[in-house]
Amino acid sequence: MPVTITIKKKLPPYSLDLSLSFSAGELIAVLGPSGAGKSTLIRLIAGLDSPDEGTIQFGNTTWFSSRDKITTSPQQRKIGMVFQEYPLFPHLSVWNNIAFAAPDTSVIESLLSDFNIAHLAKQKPARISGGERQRVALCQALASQPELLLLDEPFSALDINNRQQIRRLLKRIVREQNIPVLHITHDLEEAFYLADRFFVMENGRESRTWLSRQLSAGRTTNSVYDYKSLSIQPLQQGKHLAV
Amino acid sequence: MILDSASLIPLVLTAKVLFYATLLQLFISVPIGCWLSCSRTVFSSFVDILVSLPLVFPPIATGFFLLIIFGRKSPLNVVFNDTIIFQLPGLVLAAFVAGIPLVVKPIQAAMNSSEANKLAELAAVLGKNKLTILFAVLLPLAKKTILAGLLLAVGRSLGEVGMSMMLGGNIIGRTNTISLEIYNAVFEGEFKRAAILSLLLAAFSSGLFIAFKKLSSTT
Repeated sequence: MPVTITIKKKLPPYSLDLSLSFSAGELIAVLGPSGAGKSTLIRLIAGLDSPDEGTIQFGNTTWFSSRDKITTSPQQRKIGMVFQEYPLFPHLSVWNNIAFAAPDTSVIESLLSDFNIAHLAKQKPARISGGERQRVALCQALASQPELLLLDEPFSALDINNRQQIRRLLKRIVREQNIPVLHITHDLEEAFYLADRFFVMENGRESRTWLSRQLSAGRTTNSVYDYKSLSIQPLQQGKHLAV
Repeated sequence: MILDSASLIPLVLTAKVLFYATLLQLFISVPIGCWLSCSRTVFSSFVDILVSLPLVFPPIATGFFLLIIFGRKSPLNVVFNDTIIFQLPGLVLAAFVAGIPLVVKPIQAAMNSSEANKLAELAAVLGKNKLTILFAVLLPLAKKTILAGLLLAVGRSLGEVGMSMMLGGNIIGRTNTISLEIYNAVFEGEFKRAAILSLLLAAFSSGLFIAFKKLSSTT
């Protein structure tokens, strides 16, 4: 299902004002400095906050329209979301956290196995590491069989080996299920590996300059700096800024 | 025997009052706390103020107002027909009212915490309706807070004097709870009996406090 978003929201000291559209199976990396409004954008798409004006259209369904006074609840939007702090239900085991969203046990078993966390099924979230929690959060988001996936820095707590493995896995799942994904990240290498397209934000608006400034100044993380040639390469292979 | 039969009656009476008041806290205060934590209406703000009042209002004055509301000349007496004031239900009402804020306020705080909000949002995104979020997420999260609130309310009810005196009348053998009986014993110069009853209250309250501390340390 294609997603079309045109929204405005006052977000002192600036206003969020942007238009974005993406189609089924497309993975968009949302980039930009801290405080650019990236997390607010996905909260608005998820229905956890409401824009001041604009529309959010998912296929033929209007999720939000200020003109027609339509606001569908988060429950009706069939979204999978990994929050920035990857919260999990502390009173439920890993299995039950995923079961909370999953339609049947075969889905849970398959996800636990794919994400290498089957051995943690009976553990409570407090007893597992940050990286493991993040993998459980991803499983939970995918278990609900969403029609749109919103990821807010979903790999930030993973070590390098797990990060690469989970990236590949996510890419495969997204391709297989043909769902659109909005993926917030500060890791440019990750964005170049995963994304079909970039959406760069600064001060609540789409930015044409932030990413090129980061790349030319080498003002990125060490890992990106080491992979600088790799990170520029995909741009030449057809990836383009959403500008 | 350490306690004579005159002291056993207040003991049994106090146990009954605590039992019924705790049931009321569980079935009235806990739902009120849940409702207040998610409602933002003018009416809920009014109820919020009302349930907070026993924290700051003098118990004897609260008791007086309750006596007016439930007394013989009140329109409500048509419904209750002299079954509240100067009887066990009056004492239960006093214990219940004294403990309400100690149950409601912690529940509100727990359910409005940033962790609870994040988990409620997570459950909403996963498609769960408000009732499921309440019963499957928020209440299990607030379980220890609810238990701690109930313990505090029991402790508060145990030492309740002002409202109990107004609504129960401190009638010997009928509405004299342990706290009131300590007052009666001192008034009649029976210091030994007052001391034994006071030690009993102190021991029970200490037990409640230890249980509360244990719960708090694992919250």
